[in-house]
Amino acid sequence: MTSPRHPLSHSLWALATVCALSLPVSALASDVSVKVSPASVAVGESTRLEITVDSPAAGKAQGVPELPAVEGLDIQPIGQRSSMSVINGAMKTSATFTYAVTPQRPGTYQISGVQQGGVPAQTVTLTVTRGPSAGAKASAASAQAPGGKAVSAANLAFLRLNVPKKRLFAGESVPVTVRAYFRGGIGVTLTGPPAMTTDAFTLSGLDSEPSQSPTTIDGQNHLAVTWRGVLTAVKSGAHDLRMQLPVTVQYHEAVPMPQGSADGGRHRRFESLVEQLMNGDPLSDDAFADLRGAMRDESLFGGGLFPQGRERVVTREMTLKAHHRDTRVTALPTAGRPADFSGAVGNFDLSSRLARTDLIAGEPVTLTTVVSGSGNFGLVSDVPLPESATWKAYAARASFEATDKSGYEGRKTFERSVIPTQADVQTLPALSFTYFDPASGRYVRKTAPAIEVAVEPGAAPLVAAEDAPEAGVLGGLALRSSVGRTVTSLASAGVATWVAPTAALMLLLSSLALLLAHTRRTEVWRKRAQQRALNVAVQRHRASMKAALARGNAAEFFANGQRVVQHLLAKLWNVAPAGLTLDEVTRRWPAAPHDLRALFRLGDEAEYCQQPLPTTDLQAWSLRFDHLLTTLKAPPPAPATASVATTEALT
Amino acid sequence: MIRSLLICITLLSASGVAYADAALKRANDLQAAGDHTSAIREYEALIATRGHSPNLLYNLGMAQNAAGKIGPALVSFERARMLAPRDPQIRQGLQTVRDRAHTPVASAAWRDRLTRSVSAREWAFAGLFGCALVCAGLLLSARSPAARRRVQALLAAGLVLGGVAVAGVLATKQSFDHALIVEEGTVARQAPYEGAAALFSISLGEAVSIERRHGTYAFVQTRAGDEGWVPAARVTPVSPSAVHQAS
Repeated sequence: MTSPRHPLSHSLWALATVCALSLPVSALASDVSVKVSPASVAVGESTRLEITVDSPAAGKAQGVPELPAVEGLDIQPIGQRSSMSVINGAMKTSATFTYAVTPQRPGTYQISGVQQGGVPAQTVTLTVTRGPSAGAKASAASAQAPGGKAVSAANLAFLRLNVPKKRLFAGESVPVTVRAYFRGGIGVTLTGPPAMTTDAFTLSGLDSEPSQSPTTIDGQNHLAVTWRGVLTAVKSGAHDLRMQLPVTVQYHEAVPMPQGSADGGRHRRFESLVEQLMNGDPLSDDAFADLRGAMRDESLFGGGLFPQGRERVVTREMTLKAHHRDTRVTALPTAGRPADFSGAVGNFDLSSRLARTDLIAGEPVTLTTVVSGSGNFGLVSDVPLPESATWKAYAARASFEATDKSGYEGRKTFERSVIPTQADVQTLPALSFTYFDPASGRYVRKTAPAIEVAVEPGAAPLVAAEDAPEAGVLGGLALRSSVGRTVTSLASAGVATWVAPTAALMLLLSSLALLLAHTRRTEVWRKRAQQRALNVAVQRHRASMKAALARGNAAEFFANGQRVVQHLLAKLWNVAPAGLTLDEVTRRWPAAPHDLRALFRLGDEAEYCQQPLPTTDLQAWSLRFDHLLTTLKAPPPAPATASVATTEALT
Repeated sequence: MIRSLLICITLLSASGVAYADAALKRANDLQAAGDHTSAIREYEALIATRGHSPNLLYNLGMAQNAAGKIGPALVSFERARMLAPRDPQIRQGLQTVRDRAHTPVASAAWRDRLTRSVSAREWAFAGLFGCALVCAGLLLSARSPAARRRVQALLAAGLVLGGVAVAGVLATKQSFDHALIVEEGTVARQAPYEGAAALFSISLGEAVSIERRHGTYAFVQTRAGDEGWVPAARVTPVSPSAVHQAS
């Protein structure tokens, strides 16, 4: 009995087909082929190795092919792609693994031992030469960038240098194109301009803002960034043209799925499902139920329907390099070199004109000389007027106007004032300019013809040619008749050497004065604080006296009265109040009032004898005390000696 | 004793000044007579013995210009202007020689105009005055602590003036921290020898910086950033501190 067809069978088949397409290797390997393109490269260049595995759809997935190590070759995987085809109902899958092969030394290499699932592939041969390869040229041509081959940097980006000539003369300039290619989808930041890494050449006139254009190389979308500049050979001999470009690239990189991880579990589950779909009956209820379960699993779709693993963004700083080998630079021939040759190499024309031809002797006129063409304009120096007794010429003002972006082609203009010194002058002498023509390998002299002029006698007396500069230029300025202020050296731009030490000394002395004043002030502040403390103590003891008077406590009254007097005297004499006993007071102030002595005696008695004092005359004592205080307001005699130390403890 | 010593010093100074003035008059006479080469020699000898002064450098520049030595004249006038930036005759002489050499117009930025209008010496004296204000503030603070506002005003004015003056000295020094190409047809080369490959030519009077020296050559960098070796005799620093690194 035949089971009824499931209504979703067509959709399921379609889904299985898509799943099969996504597998890295989706079937048993039945045929393995190897191709290397180009088969001939130079040392340092990279070539592409492709291993294609064709399998029947019913096979079992095998994984990546085995690739043996080949001594002298650096083989790095750079990608893979899969495809599936159905021919006469037979499904076939094809997986292609791509590698970048970079040889380390010249020779012929046999890449053998490639196999997939036990199926061996044929041996391929790679020829590595020392010089640039035909493959490099072909590859460059396909990238629309003929010339030097780039050094691959994991095929993310590479640099190419286009030099139109392999043989140059020293001093010769040629326009060059520097092109960097970046694979589509990666982020790129240029961290510097292209630069030569050899001192045999100089690179100038590079675009500050290079042009950008999309291009396709080997089926891959790339962004081409192009600079144009002028390369000048400066050292004779055979040299490698080396150039580098620092960049930072950002790209997505697949994270490998570890065995036993959740992703790995999903991967195995997915492979099992596909295997069941392809080996068993894809329309069976079990298979369909598994697929439905898989589709319900959000994590399966959350990580992508197909088990490609996760990705991370990688930022990588790279230095792209390109080089031309064996560029030969020939020194300029010394034989036949004209004496007025200034080093200009290229192809130039010369023209000259006078601002006017009707002249007056002694009056200047502007002579304009133009050197136009292509070459190293940096060494196109002045085109002087030949020595002449009838013409005086001044230094020229030079200006350059480029007619291309890099400054390889243009015109250099020299403007100078010339003066006919005699009235019978009929022509301005012919001008000549010598340069080296690299195309013909010879020195060439270009001549601007003599210019006919009509010179009339001037009203002013004519000056001799050698006297013209000072007479015409600085004649109005007078010489100084005194030496004036002098400086011994110009190294400090005329600043006298004593200025800095003087400033430092002034600041030092001021700071010292401030420090001294601060120290003194601190002492004053300390004394003021003492005085304030004594005043507070006096107030406190007087308040206690009044309280004792109100209570009729004679002992407390006299004790506090003694302390009030002690503090007042201590304040006047700048001593510690506790040290002012009756003897000390008498010694310092022999004429001390009688009441003061009596007060001290009563105070000592109240403090030390513990005897009750009579309270009947406290009111009278209060009046006598006030009178005593009035006496103390007048300055007492100066103390004989400072026998009582100043104390910090003020009570 | 001290009086005798002071009299001796005064007499020696007076005789030195008289000798210098006599030598200057002799040089000026040579210049007026058209013997520019001898006049240049006299002026240079005077500078060697008496030091640099705006007047001597101005006269030297005049003589060099008259002798057709435009490059050295440019250097002399630049040096004179460094010491006396507002002297109208020095400015006129420099401009005239510049025109004659077709050197590019100097920068018109306000900072350059300011630093080229006040000499480093004047900035230094302004700094000294600022320093004196700070000192006055400190002394007033020591003497009269209650005069806090006046002290603060003096200190602030002194510090601001001192800071501006220091910046002015540095900026002025920097603006003269270059060298001039003093001969026409100067070619920068790849290496410090005559046979080395020529890189580019440098105009007379063009300002460059001397990075280092090697033998009779100096490695220079132009304002445009081009670098190369030129004979040291063809480039002269305006201020001797323009040589950044000795070899």
